[in-house]
Amino acid sequence: MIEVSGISKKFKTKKKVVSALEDVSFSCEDGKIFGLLGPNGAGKTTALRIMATLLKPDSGSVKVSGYDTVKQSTEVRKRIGFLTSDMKLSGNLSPDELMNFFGELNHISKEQLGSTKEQLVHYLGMGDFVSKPVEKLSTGMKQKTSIAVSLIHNPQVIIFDEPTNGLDIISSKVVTDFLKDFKKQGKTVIISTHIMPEAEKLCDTIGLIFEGHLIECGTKEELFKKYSQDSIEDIFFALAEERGLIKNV
Amino acid sequence: MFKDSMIIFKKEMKNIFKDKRSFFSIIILPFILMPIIFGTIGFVSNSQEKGAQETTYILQIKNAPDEFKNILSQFIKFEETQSISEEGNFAALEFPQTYNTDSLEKINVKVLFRSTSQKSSFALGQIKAALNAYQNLILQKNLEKHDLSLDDLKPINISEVDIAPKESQGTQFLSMMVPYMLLIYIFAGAMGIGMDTTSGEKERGGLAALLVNQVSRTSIAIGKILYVIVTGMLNSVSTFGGEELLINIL
Repeated sequence: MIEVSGISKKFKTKKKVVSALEDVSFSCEDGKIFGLLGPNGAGKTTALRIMATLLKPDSGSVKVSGYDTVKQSTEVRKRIGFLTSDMKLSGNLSPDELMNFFGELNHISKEQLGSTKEQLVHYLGMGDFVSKPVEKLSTGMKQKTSIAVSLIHNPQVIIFDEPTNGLDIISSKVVTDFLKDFKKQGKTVIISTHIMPEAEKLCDTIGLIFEGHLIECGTKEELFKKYSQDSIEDIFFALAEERGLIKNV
Repeated sequence: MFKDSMIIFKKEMKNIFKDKRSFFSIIILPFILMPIIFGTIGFVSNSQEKGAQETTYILQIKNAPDEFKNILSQFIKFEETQSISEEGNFAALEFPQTYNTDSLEKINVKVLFRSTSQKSSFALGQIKAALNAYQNLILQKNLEKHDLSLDDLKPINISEVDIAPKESQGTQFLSMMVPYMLLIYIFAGAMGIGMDTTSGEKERGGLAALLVNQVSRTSIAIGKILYVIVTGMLNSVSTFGGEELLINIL
């Protein structure tokens, strides 16, 4: 379970203060997938980074399984698996060695690490490249490795920032299938994306974020009914046009 | 906390030793590069010195006695010219029109040289050495008139005895320089590695992966500092090895 309550975040530059998030609130229960949708620069990544303890909110709070991300960050980190499209694995270590490294960092026993690795390698189809240096892997293989690394400690909550960004259709399917399975296991999944059909298929609850403000938040059905539309994409474009973000549509 | 730092340290070291390019640039390259750099510097400076010694210098000499010219010829090869030349291996010296070596009057000798020319500067040094030798000759002659010699002007004869073990003689300069050189090499070697493991890793997006794990920021910092220190030291050891190799070759 993850609860976001009124978080705001500002970034100061030399010339001005940029408000990345303004009083954003939502929640996602166990066994559900929450999708945060918005254009580039809307504040999706900032929100996810706050949830993952990488940033502190200026105001408001985030609770992961009841633990505050600022006051109890260590407890939160035990329970989250975080993946971002910016997070690129590099170097000459193999996926196997990276999984060992992150497993050790998360203080997992050797026996447990061995069985988790085996499960992840099998599930993500990493058998052919698990011993090859990461530098020599394709984008899809690297993404699978990143997923494996972020899940090595079997987290209860998964926070994925644009998990299918840059992936081909087959690799994207592996990721989305994986997220669905995770949901079936009763875990909480938070994703950000700007691929609307993907969000529509995958998410139970969708939040639409524009310029740091969470404009809409609800189930697909609720949103379709409210805007008399039959796709999230149409709702998204209607809201974007309302805010003057799209001209001549 | 230290256990986590060691995990990070070991991972970074493993990455270096598995990456042929990093291993080559940190360990192998300084070992090869140092003998090449210092060897080339030594070779160039030796050949320049040899070239300066073998050059025939064009000198404009005014009013100098033959006795001085004979002494000068023992220091450099030269040909006399009547006019000021633009050539790099040119210098000029001018004795006063009248002077008496038997009197105690000072003889003012003017030497013209070009500071921008290495050969002209070398000629200046040799002319000064020849003038010193000529000065000693004049002194010797004048002292002989009073049944004295140059040695009589030095009432104390100093004889130095080095009681340090033979194998460590002449190492004072080295022992003074080694700590400075070590510091420079460690800094030079560690600078790039330090930048790469911090801002480089952040740019590549690897730091976020590390920060969301159950490891404190302090442990990450200690692990990385340890890694930078060890690789910096490996780099400087390799550099010293290269220098040692050069000294042995020479």
